[in-house]
Amino acid sequence: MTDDFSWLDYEDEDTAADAKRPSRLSGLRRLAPGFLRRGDSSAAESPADEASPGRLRRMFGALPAFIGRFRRARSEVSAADLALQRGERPIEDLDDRLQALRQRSSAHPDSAAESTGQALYDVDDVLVTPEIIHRPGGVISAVALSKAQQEQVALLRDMVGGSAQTGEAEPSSRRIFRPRSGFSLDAAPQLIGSMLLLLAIALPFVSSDFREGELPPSEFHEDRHGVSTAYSLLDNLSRDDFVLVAFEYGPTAAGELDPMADIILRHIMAQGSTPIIVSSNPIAVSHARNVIAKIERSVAPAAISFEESRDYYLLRYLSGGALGLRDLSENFDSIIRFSSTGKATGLGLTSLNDLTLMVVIAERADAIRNWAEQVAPETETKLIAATGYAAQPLSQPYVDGSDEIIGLIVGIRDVYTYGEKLGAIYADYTPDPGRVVEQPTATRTPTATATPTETATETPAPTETPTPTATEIEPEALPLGAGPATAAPATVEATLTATATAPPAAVVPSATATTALIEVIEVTAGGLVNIRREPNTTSDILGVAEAGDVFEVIGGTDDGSWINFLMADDIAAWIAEFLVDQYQMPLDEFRAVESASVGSAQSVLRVEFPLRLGKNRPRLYQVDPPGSPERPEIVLLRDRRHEIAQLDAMTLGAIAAILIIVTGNVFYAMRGLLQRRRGPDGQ
Amino acid sequence: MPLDDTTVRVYSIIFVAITAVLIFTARFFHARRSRRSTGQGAAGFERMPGWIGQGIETGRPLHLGFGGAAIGSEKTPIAAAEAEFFYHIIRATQSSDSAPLISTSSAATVPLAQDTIRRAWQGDPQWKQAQWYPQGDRSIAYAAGVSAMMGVDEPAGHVLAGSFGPELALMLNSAEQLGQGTLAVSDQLDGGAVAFAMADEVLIGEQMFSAAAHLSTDTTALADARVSDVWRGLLIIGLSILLLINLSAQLASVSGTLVLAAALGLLVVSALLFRRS
Amino acid sequence: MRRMGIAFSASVAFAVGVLTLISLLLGDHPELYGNVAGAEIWAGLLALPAAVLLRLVTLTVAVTIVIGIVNLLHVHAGRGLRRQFYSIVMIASFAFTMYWYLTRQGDTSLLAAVQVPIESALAALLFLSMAQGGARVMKKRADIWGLLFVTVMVIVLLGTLPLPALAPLREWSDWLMDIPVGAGARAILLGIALGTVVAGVRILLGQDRSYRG
Repeated sequence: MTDDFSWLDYEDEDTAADAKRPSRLSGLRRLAPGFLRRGDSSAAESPADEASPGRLRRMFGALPAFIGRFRRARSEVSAADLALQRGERPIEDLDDRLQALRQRSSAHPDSAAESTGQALYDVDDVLVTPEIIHRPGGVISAVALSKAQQEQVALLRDMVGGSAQTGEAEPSSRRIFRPRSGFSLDAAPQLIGSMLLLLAIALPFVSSDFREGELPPSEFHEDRHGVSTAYSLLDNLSRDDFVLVAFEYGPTAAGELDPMADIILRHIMAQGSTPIIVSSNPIAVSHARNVIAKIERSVAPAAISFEESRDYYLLRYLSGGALGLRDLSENFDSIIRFSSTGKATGLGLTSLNDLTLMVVIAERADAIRNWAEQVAPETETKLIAATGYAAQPLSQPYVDGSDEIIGLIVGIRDVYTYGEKLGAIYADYTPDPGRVVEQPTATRTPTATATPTETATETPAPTETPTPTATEIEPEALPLGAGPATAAPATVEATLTATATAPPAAVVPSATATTALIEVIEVTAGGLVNIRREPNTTSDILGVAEAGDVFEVIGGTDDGSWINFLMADDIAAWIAEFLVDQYQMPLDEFRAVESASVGSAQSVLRVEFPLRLGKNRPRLYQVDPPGSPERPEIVLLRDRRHEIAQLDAMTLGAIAAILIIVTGNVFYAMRGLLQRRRGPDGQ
Repeated sequence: MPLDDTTVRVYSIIFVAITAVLIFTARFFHARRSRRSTGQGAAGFERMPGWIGQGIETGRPLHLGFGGAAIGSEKTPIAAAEAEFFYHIIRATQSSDSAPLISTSSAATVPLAQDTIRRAWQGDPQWKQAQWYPQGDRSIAYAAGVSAMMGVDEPAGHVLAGSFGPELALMLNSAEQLGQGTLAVSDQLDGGAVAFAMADEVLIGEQMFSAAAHLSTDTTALADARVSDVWRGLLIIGLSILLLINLSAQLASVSGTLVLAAALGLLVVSALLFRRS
Repeated sequence: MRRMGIAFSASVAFAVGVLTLISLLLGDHPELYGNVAGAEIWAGLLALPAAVLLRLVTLTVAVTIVIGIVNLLHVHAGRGLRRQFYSIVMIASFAFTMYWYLTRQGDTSLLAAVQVPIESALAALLFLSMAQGGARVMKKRADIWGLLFVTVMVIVLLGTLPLPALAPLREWSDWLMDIPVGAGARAILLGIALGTVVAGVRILLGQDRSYRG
């Protein structure tokens, strides 16, 4: 190494590594313990470092009073402080570097010895003013001679009578650190500007009188970045299509991009297609789950529910940025095998070409570039990009210059147009009254009222069923592994969802049910639960059931923890008690319900051996989903209350920002001109 | 005319190989030359000596930020280049009692930050000097964490060199409020624009790779910067020629001699600009 | 001994770097080998190292989050001991979140209820900071470049407003963004790309400082 840092030379890299000095206090610290900051209390408390005013006086004689006037704030550099706080210590006790510095200083004969005698008659014995040494080199030489320091040197020279010979020590306008406290007039413009901005943004939400500008059009502009084509591709999905949706944004951009993700996901799922969500941002994966949950909450009144690994898939996060995306393109089949929670997805796709479409929702142009460079060239599947206003200018070149990227959907204005188009498509839709779900209490209570001959039975309270998260069959783990709880009557909804082809009216109790009662169980746990051959968790799995499935009870273990029942094909099986509710039901009603239940292993499951993972038994995956939601409600129940207010707030906020920027810059430009005319001395 | 994948790969191999040869050659020639002053007075570095000096004299640390430049991603070279930059800055602050602070929003960069301090700082650095604030390329949490640190540790100045987006505005605004100096450079264009508007000192684009060469007379850093300059010069010349060819095709009525003269003039101007840079 | 260690680490870095590069550029592309016999097999074999090493990198990067968490706790534990309020809050929040996650596995409601609103609020603060920063450009750079910056910024911002009266400005704004700003952006990105290549090759050749022991 050949670095040259003047008189604060450090050692060569290699030798320095070998001969590291222990923790040290620099000479300046020893000289000026008052500068020690609160974080360095250990050093400050060292008795050797404490300044002693009495000793100072002995050393300096009567300390000139004017030195005290040079004292400044704690964190500033002040030669007067150095002098006041200097302890009386033998020179040999000084740090090596300070001794060397002193020697070098003494070596210059043109020190201000003769002049110091007049102002500070005995100070020159101690403080010998050095000549400024100009040496070429790196930044350190400039450190020694920085303007801020030159000012201090000039001050010191003045104090001890030397003439300021630095030549470069012009008055500097450089700021010296001065923590501000309290309110100052300097902050007033900022405060006023902030208030103006906040007011401009808030007003449209308070009153519709503050509306400025035109609303976005109800049709996408044909030639604008292919956005119209992108919409068409999304609108032409069909029931068996899989769409890879990349959530490349975190909570920071949620305000702007959540509505975009929301409408794209709704559009995909409303057509019965299945989104596969992936991200190279770990937080975005969890955030995507919340976006889905929000959609699900909004459509709960229409008895629609989504189940992970059936209606949508959430894959594990792709680490390594662009490398992670490259990994996805090269090892797609292995990456999609596991969900974000580490459970198997059961997806049978083998390559990116099996996808119908890819959508990247990104907050940064870099993310779109990574997808365009690492993923899109590896497949024939088209990529649609969606982003916010901040990333649009930089994303656009990738979209315009790439054959693989179809369109760029930008910001809440495009979301508005998107919503208008979807609304127009489903404008004539009227909800099917047959699909309206009954409340769970109505489902359960008739057994007690219509069967006077039987003993009173327990009326199970409606349960809050967690949203299912995976199809992997781990019944014991399911209650823990479930997603966010939904307050909606999810038990019944799940039944309806699972049996999309079955008439929901079958669940509604018949008022004419007067036949004999039978003991039944109804599965209440979310997700798929195991049905086993024996009443223990190590026995074979015969099949699965899901929330809402009803079976006839034929027995149980003595302690009641396992229940023996008949599957749809009259096979005796066992299920854990905590996964079900047990009650009585009229036989004919049971028969109607039983036919809608999915308790048959053969019809639902296939066995795979993807990975042993330490368990020498097959894992079962659902192969024939009972039916994904395919309803206009998914789109129509979107919350658009604040959409127009948001657009207006954006317009007014931009106007306020422009006003502030123009005003501020005109002010500073004028001030700069005035200062130049006055000259450096302010005259 | 788009190139096919095979051609691009072949060109890539040739490009990397030539770069490697250039690096070795430049190092060889620079090693033979005497040391020369480089960074004094260079744009973007004028105020840094003041911050370092202030930090030394008041016992306040300097803060160096990687932002989202992450080891193990496509930004690995940026992280490595900024580590080299920080190395030279830390060497310059050795007379201070306070070891500099390095912050990053990439957990994978924490070991690099610690390693940089360990090599450059001859005192006894503590591991807490390298600080991680979660997480990612555009991390508002990182910006908030660094802004809070500005009030707690009161750094004398901030060198924010790495990968920053618009969140840089939060940090620069906080530093402005606290009267702390800032030098900023980002590989992201939006971060660069914010740096230009709000930082005391700004480096732009490829300057983030040559910053280390400005701060030392280390021949290797100089050589790397020179290779980058050579490629940039060649690129400018190549683009200029293509532009002229395109122009001459469009302006067929203009005499060939005039176009040739313009081309030569442009080349001379480019060479002069390149030499001056 | 130390020098041997340095040489060894540099050699390993060089070997792995070159192998990965060759594997990425030549692997899985038999057309690059011309008429060489068994080109398909060689190309397949050559693609393996990059696939394996890149997979390792992505896994390693994923694990480094642990380093970050340990670092975060270490830094704030020290500050917490010095009764720094925000550090104590940070550690308490960390403990609470861990407890929440472990007891309610898969529950992301904290993310929705806490992190998203806080980060959204910070993003809103960012808007204020940027507006204020934009207002101070001429304070920092009272020269022709500062003036140019402010002028372009204002024109582009005006061009985004959906006001009929400003429709002509939209054309200016689009032209500015497409031609001068686009050219400048590409120039900066090209410079960064060149710097990245040089820095990358330096790392590849084992010349980076971190290889020097």
